[in-house]
Amino acid sequence: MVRFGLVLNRTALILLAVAPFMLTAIPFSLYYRTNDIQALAISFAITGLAAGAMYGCTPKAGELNHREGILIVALGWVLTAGFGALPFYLYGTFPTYTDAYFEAMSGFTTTGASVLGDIEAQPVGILFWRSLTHWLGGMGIVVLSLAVLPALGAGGMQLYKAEVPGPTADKLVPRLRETAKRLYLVYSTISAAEVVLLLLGGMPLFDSLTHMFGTMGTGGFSPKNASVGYYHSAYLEMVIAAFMFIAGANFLLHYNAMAKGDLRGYLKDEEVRFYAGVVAFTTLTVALALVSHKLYPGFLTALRHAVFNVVSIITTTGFVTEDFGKWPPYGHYILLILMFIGGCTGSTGGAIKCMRIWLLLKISYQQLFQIVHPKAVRTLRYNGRTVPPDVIQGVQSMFALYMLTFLVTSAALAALGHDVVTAISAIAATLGNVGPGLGTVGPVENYSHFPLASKWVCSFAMFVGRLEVYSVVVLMVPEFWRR
Amino acid sequence: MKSVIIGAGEVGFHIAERLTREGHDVVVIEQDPAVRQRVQNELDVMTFEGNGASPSVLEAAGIQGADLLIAVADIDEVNIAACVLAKEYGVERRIARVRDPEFSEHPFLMQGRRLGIDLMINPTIVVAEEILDLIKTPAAAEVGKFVEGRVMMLGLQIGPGAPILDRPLKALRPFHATTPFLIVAVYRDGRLLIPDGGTEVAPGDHLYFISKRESIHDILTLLGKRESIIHRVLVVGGGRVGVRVAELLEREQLSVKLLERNPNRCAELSRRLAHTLVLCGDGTDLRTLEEEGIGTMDAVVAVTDDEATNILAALLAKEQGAKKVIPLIKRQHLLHLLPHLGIDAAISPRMATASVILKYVRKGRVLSIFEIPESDAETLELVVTPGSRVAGKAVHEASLPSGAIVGAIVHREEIVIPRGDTIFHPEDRVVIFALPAAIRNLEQLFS
Repeated sequence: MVRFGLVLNRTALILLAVAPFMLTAIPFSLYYRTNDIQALAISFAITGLAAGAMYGCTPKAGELNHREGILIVALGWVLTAGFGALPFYLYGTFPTYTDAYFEAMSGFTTTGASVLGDIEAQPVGILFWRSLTHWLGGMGIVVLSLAVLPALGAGGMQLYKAEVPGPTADKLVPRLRETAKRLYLVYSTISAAEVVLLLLGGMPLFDSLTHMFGTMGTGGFSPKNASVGYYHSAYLEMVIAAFMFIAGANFLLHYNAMAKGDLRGYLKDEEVRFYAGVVAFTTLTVALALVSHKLYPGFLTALRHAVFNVVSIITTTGFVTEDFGKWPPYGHYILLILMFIGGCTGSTGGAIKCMRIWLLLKISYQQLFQIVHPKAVRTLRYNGRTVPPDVIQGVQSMFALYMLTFLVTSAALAALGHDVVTAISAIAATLGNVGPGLGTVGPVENYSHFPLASKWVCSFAMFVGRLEVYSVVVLMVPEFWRR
Repeated sequence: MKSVIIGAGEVGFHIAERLTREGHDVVVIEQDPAVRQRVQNELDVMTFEGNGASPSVLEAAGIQGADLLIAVADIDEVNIAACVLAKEYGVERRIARVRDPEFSEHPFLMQGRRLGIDLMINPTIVVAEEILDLIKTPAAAEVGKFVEGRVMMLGLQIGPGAPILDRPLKALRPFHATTPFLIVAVYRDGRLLIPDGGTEVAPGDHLYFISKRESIHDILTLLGKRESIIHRVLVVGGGRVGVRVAELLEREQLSVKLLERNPNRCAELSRRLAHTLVLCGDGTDLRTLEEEGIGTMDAVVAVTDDEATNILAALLAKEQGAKKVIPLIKRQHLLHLLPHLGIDAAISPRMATASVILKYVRKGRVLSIFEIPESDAETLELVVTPGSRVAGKAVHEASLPSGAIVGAIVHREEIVIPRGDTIFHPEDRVVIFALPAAIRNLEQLFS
């Protein structure tokens, strides 16, 4: 049974946690004397009042059950994108609310797919908010509200599980609120380190902050039309690549490294080894492909572009330095595949996640082994522990549902008249929360030419991808709504 | 404060819930994956799957930084081993539940905490003692004892025809002048109310009051209960609890019959219990019960291993005219069914064990504790620490949290049922009823 009053009450709390962040863009607007302060302030007021009213008019008492938790997270994301779109809409960044919603959903889900033509024509406040949505959505808006609002405490574990990426949601410390706080602390510390390194490379403060938001959330919005390619700086590209790689790894390991000095945790973790292995292998082969096609003047330059774009895509960030659409087929084929793999569990990255891919490979090998030795008794181990059957099933069915969602939404795009490469890559890039695809949505293009219906299909794909399919698809199962 | 709890059964789950609410960081170790999952979903704790007596599991659970270990797994040996290990890991306080009297009562082991256990709880003993209290106070459904038993808190169901009915509580003032007592809570329609002067007691209400031991008789008369003298008791079930209860009753010089189904066990019981009539038969078999004069029993205690049998035996006994029936019930949530069935008292090993553990955990600040079933409210016995915020103040100016009622103050051996102007002197012992939200605040006020 779902108690809608209670669901709205808790959802309002998520909005209340996010709303004040709209104001953080205003100092930049003041400094650069831009005319977007009104749009930001009014958006904040509308969001705050609407959420406040929602909170005030609904019952507060009650422990959340499993279904309500899922519904709150799903609704929280839909509404956060809905209200997060207000600054764009009120300022007039876009002609339609659909575009504003697409941009906000793309921001919060850390996709980075844009419908904005001339980015640099926008005022700084709007651009700051646009990038900040990545940072908030990366670690999670529910986790944020768990950290700052004690009122979500009861039943919070249901919400945490529905939002945190990966088949199992682990806590850092016994208390959920403390776990959420520490996650944000680790996240903020690494973020600060990146800003310092970017500033040292000569990037202005505003650009450093917005690129940091895009990197750490694995989002990909840049305040520059040419994205990171604008700076033509190998140093900045490598700093951003390194931090994208970090943000695509499990924050539980970062926490252990920072709080307990446990650096060996990275080496021992199967998922991180797989993740690093995939990055190393694809980077090298892509670099070799680039060299053999003589696209760049030398191996090092080819390697530099291969590293940046491979890391940017596998972590589902989507920053670009080069038009990889013009790369040899092997290059953009690999990037398309990486869009499905994604980062690690417990990271800010999207898509299927390395752990699931790795487990699927192990399960498949196990099956093959069993064909050879039908009587063999083997247990599937992951990080030294037996994998429980429900996790195996969960991984398999998540993969199936992910691919099913991919098929249905890309078929929808094809039905709306997009060519095959565009339909496939646009969905791979939005469902995987990557951003740029191939064809007409390639790295130097954007999604603004899409018809309204296609934009809604892509917004939906981003939403499904960020919540790892289950939390959204389960809402479409009639059983969910039965008493 | 970081606490590790081993075993998330009825007691472990309850303790984890309470400690979390009181601000502890709680880690629960549980072997059954399904149970672990349930704890993870319902409580704000960290959980680990595994055997609590295994060093690697304990280390993963962060035993090294823990201040408190509570071992309440199903197997005694696991609990003991966990405490031995915890001692080596430097855990300051270690509590274990141990059912086998070979461990819990052997003088050699008890000396100097040889097993690394600071508090060894044998639920059998705790439960048997609570049953004895209930038998000795036949009118009450629950009995809490404070200040060495000189202050009591009783919970009981009000029947029709009680003198207290149909008038506001403030009309009792003349009675209070001679026999001071305080009604601290009323359980009505599934909710716990704190009464004020205008509250009227209705039939079917479950009242909780605090008073001196010597006033109990007069108060019970006011509440429409007749205090009868107990002579004849039937114990159904000859397990550990049954034997223990029979032994205690023998010591009280009562006439005890004990019904046990297993003939071999009966033979053993008859050797052990010299003054008890051991009967071999089924506690739910009406003919056996009738033959043994169940209707003439002053109290029937049903303590077999199967709680359904206990409830049925109690119902039968009540129906046949036994004055008081006390079934043992393991599952806490069944307790609230009992008033509807006409069973006026029950004993829950979980509540009993958990109370003892909580009392120990809050050691130093809290001398005694009594939990109100189904509500998480508690009655605490505290000491007024010199220099604490309440010391030297009168009750009405001590800014006690709402939801806390002072039931008794013991000043230099003299028990006072307080009024607004009674003073909290340093070193006084205070008995306070408190709703869950008020408990933490209270402990800070008094320490």
